[in-house]
Amino acid sequence: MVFSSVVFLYIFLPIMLLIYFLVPKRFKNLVMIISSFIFFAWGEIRYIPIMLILAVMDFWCGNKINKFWEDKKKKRFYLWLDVGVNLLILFFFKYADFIISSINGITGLNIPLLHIPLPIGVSFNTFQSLSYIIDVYRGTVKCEKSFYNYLTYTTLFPQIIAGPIVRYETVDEELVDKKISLDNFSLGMKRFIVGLGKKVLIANNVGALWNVIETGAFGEMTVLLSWVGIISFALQIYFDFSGYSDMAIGLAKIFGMNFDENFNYPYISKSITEFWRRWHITLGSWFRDYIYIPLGGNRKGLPKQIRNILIVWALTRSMAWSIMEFCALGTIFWCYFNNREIVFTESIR
Amino acid sequence: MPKIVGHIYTLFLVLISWVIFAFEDLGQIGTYLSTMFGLNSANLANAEAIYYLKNYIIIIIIGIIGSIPLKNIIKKWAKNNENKTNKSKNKNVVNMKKRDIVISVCASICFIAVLLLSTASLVNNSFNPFLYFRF
Repeated sequence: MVFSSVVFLYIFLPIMLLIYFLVPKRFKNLVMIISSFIFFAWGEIRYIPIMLILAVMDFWCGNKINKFWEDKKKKRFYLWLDVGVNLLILFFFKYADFIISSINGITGLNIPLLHIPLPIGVSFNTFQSLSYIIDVYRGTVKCEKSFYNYLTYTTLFPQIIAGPIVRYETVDEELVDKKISLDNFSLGMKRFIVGLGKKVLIANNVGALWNVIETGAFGEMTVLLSWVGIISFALQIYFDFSGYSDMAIGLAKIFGMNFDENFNYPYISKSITEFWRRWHITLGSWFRDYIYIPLGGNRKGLPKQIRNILIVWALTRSMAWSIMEFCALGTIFWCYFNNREIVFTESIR
Repeated sequence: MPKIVGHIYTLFLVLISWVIFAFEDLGQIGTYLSTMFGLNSANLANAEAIYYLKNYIIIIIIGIIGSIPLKNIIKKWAKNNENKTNKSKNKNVVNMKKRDIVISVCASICFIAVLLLSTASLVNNSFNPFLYFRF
């Protein structure tokens, strides 16, 4: 199901909200879990079992890490077990066919391709799981003791399609105690409508123009039209992406939860690094905190810094030859300059 | 570096990057970029280009305005104005209340209008692509 559809706006959401606000507090998470499953199952039901297995896995490993807090070896084992399983599933969906066709190419065999379409949201789900388990391992968050709450976190449907990436530490308190109020409801509704308008009224319209220009479905291409085209594409991408984030943030607000902001007027930036601090903020900071800095960032000399930049680049590149690809380039710039600032402030201290 | 140069240079690079990102085929990227900079035989403009520009200029302008933090700029401006006219205080409080009511009513009307327009567009089955299949 997508937000910008009549089914979601006028059937799914009103019914879900009605039940959500009527049930007693302890059942609110249950309503969220069930509605998330309906939301996902609308398009394809096959990802739900995997989601459940991953949730059990994260939850179990998180608690094991907590149990063996003093035992460094065991602690690390459970961290890598969970990270490994998560990545394995992600890579399976993304690369199974790529690997098979490479093997066919090299060996001359003829193994049939699997043709598995990527389940919607698998990347964002992985990002969330990894942030949880790594934060538990680092001791920056307490491990979740209730599977019920963890499942709510990992299946949260508003942001799973296009972000923002919600870290466990952002919502851990709100999983238990939601800030439901008339104020939050109206703020959330407004935010959701802003996002909907951005997507349907602006992105879709300029997108239609770009669609015509891109496919060359008209006569002769001219200089003027090429500029009009790329400007409309830039507007489409921004309003579609940030519109989706607005809708997610708005929905969360209605449910009584607060997500991080994801876009901050990127097109007014005065430099490329500033652009990446304003564009898909949660993805950039995810790569910074969970990949670039753990690898040593830029504090271990230039050769290692170049290696780290390349790793981030390769990873994001392989995540999807898509919007992520573009984010990767930005992340590199961003990490590079941001980390320089970090080193700078640390040396002052 | 003056601010404006920074803005232009950033937007320029971002637009070029969007071209690279939009096409998967290297040849197409090359053709598109050389058209943009007049490096091939493409004309500057023709009747068709003007037609599309005329049809879409309003939505493009709305998009560009929506890409700048207009809300913050207006708030700043309003605050400055308030400081200037802060001499007659009692009168001001009444005016402010009135103004706030007017603003909130207008805002509510706008939100409802956006919701209705979006719904109309969705019911009409107009172009509504989903960009996130590859995530």
